[in-house]
Amino acid sequence: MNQLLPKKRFLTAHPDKLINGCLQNDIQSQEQLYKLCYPDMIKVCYRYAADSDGAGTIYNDAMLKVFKNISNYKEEGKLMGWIKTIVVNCCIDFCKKKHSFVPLQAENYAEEISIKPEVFNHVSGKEIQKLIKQLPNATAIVFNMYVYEGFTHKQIGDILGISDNTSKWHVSEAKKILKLKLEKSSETELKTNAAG
Amino acid sequence: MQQDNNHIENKLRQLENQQLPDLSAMDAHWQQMQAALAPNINPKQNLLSLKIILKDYCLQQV
Repeated sequence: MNQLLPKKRFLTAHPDKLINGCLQNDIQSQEQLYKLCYPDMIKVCYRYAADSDGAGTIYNDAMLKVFKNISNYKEEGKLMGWIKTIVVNCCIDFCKKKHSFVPLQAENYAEEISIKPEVFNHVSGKEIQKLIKQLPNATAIVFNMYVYEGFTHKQIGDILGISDNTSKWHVSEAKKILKLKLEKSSETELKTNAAG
Repeated sequence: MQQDNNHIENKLRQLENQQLPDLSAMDAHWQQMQAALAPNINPKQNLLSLKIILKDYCLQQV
């Protein structure tokens, strides 16, 4: 029986084999591809979702699109990039359904923010993500798109239906709030260390 | 100032890259995915699996 139905047929399979399997709707290939991409892609989904359920919903929506459209994948060797594009688009769709993006009269966006490098010494990526989640929704989404997904302000404006300046204002506002919180937490830590 | 901005963004990306992904819900998410995929599963493949299960069952009965 085990010879007939190997459980992990494609555990170490070449991506081309996985793609061929997915083209034939082979559930084991789909599972392998799903789990292969999960660690990197779920991090992206968590950025835009409030919790694990939301992140799972976005990822599953994206992977359903991947499996349905895998015959359109033509770029050899760029499978993860192709999947990431679909995941990011699903994250943005998810946010657009949940939040509205109000264009602002943001003429004074150009306030450049600098954060002391040492404040990053005592903070983890997880803590940063927590702080970003505490930002106003629209600000957090624009900030994530700009910093982590690498969109330009022009692209963000086109996607969300806001001006470039509104996008710049959100990023500047996010940095301002993060700077305050990070510097405050860094000062508290220094005081605690000095007292201890 | 532009350098400061780049520094902040690079530092944030670096911290993000160091963060390990949360895999605790991966199997539960896959179960939900399987349910969504169910109508798309190749019927020929289902039939083949059924044949193998039946064959195995018959062999056990002998």
